[in-house]
Amino acid sequence: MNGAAPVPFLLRLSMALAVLGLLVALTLFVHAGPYTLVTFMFVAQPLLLLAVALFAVHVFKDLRRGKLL
Amino acid sequence: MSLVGALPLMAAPAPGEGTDLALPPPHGWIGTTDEWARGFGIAFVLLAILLLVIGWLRLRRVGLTGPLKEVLILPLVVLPAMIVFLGYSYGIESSKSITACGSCHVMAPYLADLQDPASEGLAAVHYKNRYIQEHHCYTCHTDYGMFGTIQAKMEGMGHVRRHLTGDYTLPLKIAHPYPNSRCLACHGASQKFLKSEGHPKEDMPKLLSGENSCIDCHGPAHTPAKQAASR
Repeated sequence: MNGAAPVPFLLRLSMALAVLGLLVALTLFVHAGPYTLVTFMFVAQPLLLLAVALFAVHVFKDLRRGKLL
Repeated sequence: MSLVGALPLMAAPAPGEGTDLALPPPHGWIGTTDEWARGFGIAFVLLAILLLVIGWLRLRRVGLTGPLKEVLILPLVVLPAMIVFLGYSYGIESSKSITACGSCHVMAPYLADLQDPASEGLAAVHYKNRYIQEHHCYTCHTDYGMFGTIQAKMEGMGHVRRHLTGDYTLPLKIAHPYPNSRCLACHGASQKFLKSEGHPKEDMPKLLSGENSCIDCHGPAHTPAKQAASR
């Protein structure tokens, strides 16, 4: 057991969603077709956007906590 | 092998693409923009996943440090933005290929007819004589200009939905009457067309308005083998 601080939930969720979105995006690059393109547009892209949004919320909260905002 | 060294390998054509090319690419060929978009796309996805895994392990081991926060901007913001751009660049362009159109099983007879040298269907004649250089389905089934492309993509998504839900009947029928403007975009200014006895000037208004269809005299557009009644 070490003394590392717990990883914020938002950041963990953001990273998990990003990995999922990236894996879905990879299917388009490996095999381009109608299904992979539609999946990229309607699954991978929202997942990546959500990951960015959650990361932005985490950064915003972090800055507020440090009284930098 | 370094990442940079591996890029040309990843930029190779995707499976099913370019298989109808008769000649090998010329010496010094470094690939098309799409092939490079594909290569960079794969490289960026793998790099982002690698950084996220390393970041996750560091987080668990030493917690959220300042430098780690800065590093995470790369796989969570910068690389995904580039991947989305490359994905659209590569995906939209790839969706114009005949392989993409033929990937739905209901289109298989049309693709087989297109590539059949013995077929006298209009599409097959254009294909075997290479009257159209590439994107054979897309070129004839898309209106010209920016909105033609957008409309084609919207209709394409509708086709995917219909195929997934089974919301279609066989044999397939074109949704709208085929517009002459798609034929005339190439043929309209050709001397062969303009000076042909089969296209008298007094008939031009009817051709331009669509009252007379090019397909009526020059069809059929496709002669696919009979499709199975069941799916």
